[in-house]
Amino acid sequence: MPNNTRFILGKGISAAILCLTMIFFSNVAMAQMPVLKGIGGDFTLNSSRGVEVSLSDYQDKVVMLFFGYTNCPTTIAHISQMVKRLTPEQRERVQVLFISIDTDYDTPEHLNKYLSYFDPSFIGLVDEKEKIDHVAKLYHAEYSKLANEKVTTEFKKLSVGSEEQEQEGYLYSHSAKIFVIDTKSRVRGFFYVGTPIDDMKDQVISLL
Amino acid sequence: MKMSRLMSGLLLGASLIFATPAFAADVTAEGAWSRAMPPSARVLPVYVTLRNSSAEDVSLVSVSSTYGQAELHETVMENDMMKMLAINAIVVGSNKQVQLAPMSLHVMITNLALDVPSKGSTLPITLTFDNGETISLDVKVTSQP
Repeated sequence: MPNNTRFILGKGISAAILCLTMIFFSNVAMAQMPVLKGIGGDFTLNSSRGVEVSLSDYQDKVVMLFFGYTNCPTTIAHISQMVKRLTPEQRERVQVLFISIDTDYDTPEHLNKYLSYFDPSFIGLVDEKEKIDHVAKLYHAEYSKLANEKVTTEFKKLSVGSEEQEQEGYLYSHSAKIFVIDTKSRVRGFFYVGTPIDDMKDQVISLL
Repeated sequence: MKMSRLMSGLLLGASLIFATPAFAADVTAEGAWSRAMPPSARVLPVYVTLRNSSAEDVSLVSVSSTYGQAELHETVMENDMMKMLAINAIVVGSNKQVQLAPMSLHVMITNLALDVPSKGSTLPITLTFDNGETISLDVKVTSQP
């Protein structure tokens, strides 16, 4: 075998080993976000864009989905800080979906104005309560309206049972999870407001 | 001679003027900021660090602002659920500090009477404590502290 061929062959083998190593390590990274069974699924809701939106519309993107309401800006502010750190190309492949549980107040128009302020690419979803409830059930994301009563130093269990109390309050209790959904619409994990922005960024990039 | 007496008198006067707030104020407030909110928002959150240098606990019992009705809130996490609750008071222990911050204790201005303040502007608030002290602040409106 001429020396030259041996050299090329050697190079090829080391390149193959390098590739395999990279695949192995990228799989290790992926393994940190396993596909979660029994949670999630497709849905269709009215959106801040004025048209109905389905999760399956974003099959080529990594979706960060969360339940909230516009009186609680912390989650959206945290996500928008993370999205700002992505490159324009990465941003193209990420979609933020904000499902409003405040169906009394958050209209598609209001959501549009609200979300555009944080990032014009973010989409808000709001619909009849029954439809929101259905999606919340798919994602095991509980929420409830809190009674408008003050609590002192010890937190009392707030009763939200009675109709009257439900109408008084404007504060909600809701799932704090940010669902991370891969390009095949599968739930891969959760972020929280406490998840460091760099960790969120790395994990989202690993799914792109 | 006269001159030096006058000078020392002035210095004494000045030191008294500058020293007075340190003696009078048990509570101080620092680093106040409000998250810049969209023009269509109906609430304004305010965060600040309170320090109590006295020998007694002091409670923040009310907040007022020309921007609307200010309430004391706490966000709590319980079994992956996030709740924002209205509370009666925020206690600052003797020689302790309490940081009002996102996902924790905060002031929430609701029923807005004025337009949502824009990023870079300030919004005035007055904090009232149960020892009778009040602190007026111009809170910085910003997207991050």
